[in-house]
Amino acid sequence: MKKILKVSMALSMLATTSLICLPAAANEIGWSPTISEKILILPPKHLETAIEQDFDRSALATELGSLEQTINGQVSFLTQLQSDLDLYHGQEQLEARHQLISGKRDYIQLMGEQIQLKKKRLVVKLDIYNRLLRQSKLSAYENSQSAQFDEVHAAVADRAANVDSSLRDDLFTSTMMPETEFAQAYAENQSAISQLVEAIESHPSNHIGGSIDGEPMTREEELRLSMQDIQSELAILAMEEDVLGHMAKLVSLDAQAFADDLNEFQYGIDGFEPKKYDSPANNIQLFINRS
Amino acid sequence: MKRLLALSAILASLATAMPAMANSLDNLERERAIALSKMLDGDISIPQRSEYMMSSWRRLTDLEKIVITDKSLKSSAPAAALRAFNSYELTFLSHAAAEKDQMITQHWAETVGLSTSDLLVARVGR
Repeated sequence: MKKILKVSMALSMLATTSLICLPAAANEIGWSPTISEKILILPPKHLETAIEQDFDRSALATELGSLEQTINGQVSFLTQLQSDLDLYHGQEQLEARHQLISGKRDYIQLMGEQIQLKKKRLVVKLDIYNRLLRQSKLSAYENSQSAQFDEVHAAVADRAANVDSSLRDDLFTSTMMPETEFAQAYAENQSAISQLVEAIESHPSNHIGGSIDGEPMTREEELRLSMQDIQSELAILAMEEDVLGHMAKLVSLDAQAFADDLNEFQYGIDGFEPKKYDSPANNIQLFINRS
Repeated sequence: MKRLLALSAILASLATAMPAMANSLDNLERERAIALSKMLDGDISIPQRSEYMMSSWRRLTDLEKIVITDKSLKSSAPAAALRAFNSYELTFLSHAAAEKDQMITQHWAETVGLSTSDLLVARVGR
């Protein structure tokens, strides 16, 4: 019985202190991304998949997976123990309660480790997106120069295409000579290009990208949205940590109640009352009355 | 002196070793310059000039299309190409003339600010 008492006291101490040590174990495992900025050419959905696949190959993913399995086992154990608690009586019930408190403490510790690993995963993911965003901005700056050229060139090409047909007619009627081989090939290819461009415009996959208020999103906007999602996941993890903190407090209170019950069990089970010893004042009459 | 000779020899050998890289814009420029010189040549007859301008018109039309479809200009001569594109009226003589339903000669003269009355009052000078 004394052993149980000692264990219970140690348990209540552990329950309150274990959460402080949570991040220590999670610091060892990491994720060093191996993907390059080339994934920027992928559409947003596939970009996310590529990052997740890279994570899946990391030691962090392996650790998170095994931790998840351990947590599931722990939850099953606790659920079973809690439902069977009423079946035990006396010392056996105390032992079962002891196991329940100990199991809850382990569960909180495991969940704390899992949250730390999840955080680590999200922080690395956020770094990747930051890197991609920087690369995207750089590319956008480089592309702005060529975009100016493309714009002027497209205007020139449109303007020339508008008179192409009439120019061919004028040349034929004015010179009375057949078209040059180049002119014929040019016209054929131009017609083919026009049909292909039309097909590209009407292709469903050409309109798959995301949009804001009907306007197509830029790559930077897409990356920022993904980063917002990661930041919201981090915020949820912070809330989950709060939940764990409250759980730890409850376990600590359970441990305290358990220790009280244990004391009661040890010292109050037989209705033990401390002995009262006689006082000389109670027998004073013996000395006052003379007969 | 010897050093100078050696340096000039090296430069000369480099100049001969490097091939002349004429892009599509250079070719158009050359053809346009020849067409304009024939257009302003006072030593040839009107039928000769007309005949030359007809064949030049075909070549210019083809060369202008080559320039418009030449994607290599963006990397090889972006500044020159931009300048040429922005001066559409004078670079693409054939296409610009077709827009106004004019002959190349008339279109060019109008673009550079030469009217018939200007030409009539003009005097030959040294």
